[in-house]
Amino acid sequence: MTGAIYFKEAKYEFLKKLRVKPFAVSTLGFPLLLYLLFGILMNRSWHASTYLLASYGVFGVAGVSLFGFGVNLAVERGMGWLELKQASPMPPPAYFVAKLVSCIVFSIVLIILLLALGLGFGHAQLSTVEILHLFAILVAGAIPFGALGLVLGYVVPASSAASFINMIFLPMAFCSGLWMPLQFLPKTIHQIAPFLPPYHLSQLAIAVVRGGHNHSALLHWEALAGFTLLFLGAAILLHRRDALRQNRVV
Amino acid sequence: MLGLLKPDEGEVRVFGCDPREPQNRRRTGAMLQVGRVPETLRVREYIDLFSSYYPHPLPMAEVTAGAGLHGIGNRLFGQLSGGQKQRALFALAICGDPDLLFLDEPTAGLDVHARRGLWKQIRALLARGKSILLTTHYLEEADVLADALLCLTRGVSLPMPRPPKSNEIQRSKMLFLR
Repeated sequence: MTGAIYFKEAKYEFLKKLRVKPFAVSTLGFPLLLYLLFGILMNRSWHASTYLLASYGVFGVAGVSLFGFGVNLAVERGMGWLELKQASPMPPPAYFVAKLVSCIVFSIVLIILLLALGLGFGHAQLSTVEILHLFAILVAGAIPFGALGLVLGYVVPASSAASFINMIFLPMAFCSGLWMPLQFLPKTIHQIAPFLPPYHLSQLAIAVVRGGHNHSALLHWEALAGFTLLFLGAAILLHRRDALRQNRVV
Repeated sequence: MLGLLKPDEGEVRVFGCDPREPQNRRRTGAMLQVGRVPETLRVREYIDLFSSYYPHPLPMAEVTAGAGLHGIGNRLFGQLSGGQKQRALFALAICGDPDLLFLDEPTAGLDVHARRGLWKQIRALLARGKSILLTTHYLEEADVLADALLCLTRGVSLPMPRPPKSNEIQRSKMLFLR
């Protein structure tokens, strides 16, 4: 029975997101369009096409998870919808697992479309092993960004959740070198980048498309795991604060 | 009693269990004052989802009939009128066939016709032996439906030896009845 709850919760969470046109258009369409512009139409070299495939992959997955978790949670908290779910016999983890699963499914769809675009119409070149490796890294990225989205979902106001999250997400993407390789950016940004989760995910993804052995892979994985734990810890604290606040009001 | 809050002191037991544990809420259903609901799922899908939380849910047809949702099961929540939304939320409260039902101002914002419709459904549930705890602003509603009235003022319940005519207590902030 519990399995059925998790399955239905995830299925309907996915359907719910899919039908929200602004969500589907901005999280799937935006990275695809940017990649089409910068990775394919304005670029004739296989090098840039492949590089940008990795960095826009990170950009896309981060967007899906930040918005899928953050905006959704903020909005549903604001509606009182989360409270109704909490009053039902639903096991609480089901709500969050469903959000994570739906973000992962969205990420997979996005990565497939990006790969199809890059390999089919662009000049990107990757071996099958590299494709699978890149795929795995990007999908795993849903976890740290989902955790960050969770934190933001408790912090940003429901009415303007999307714009708040964009204000954090877009500069973060820029400073992590997702739009432009870091070597073309000023020194200050080089120093900021390691403190941002997309930097580490993109370093892993870029290393795959460049080929060869990545000596610092372990370091980047550790950083991502650290960020995930940090965000989850913060989310738990915020969740408790939320519960306390409810207690006070009543 | 819904398990949302931690008691400041003492303890709350519903059917002998702590309602803060999700599995102990399988015999209760709730209709809260939800401002809005994520709008991109169909009524039928919401009922299917909430039914899955309960061990012995009612058949879909019975829920839609009981909540007066004929013919709108396939509509997205966002396409419903205010009254239809209230009825759909009512459907989510009853779909698990709970023995105890919490209805928090279920008829707020409904027109007279829709309110009477909901009263009829509440009476049908009472006839089936269900307990209902209902809060309301409408004193008439309390008069018509309640077996017992409880009046809360600043967290203290006023003594009520008999079901009074509610015009005696017009200054009360809230009414509980069941």
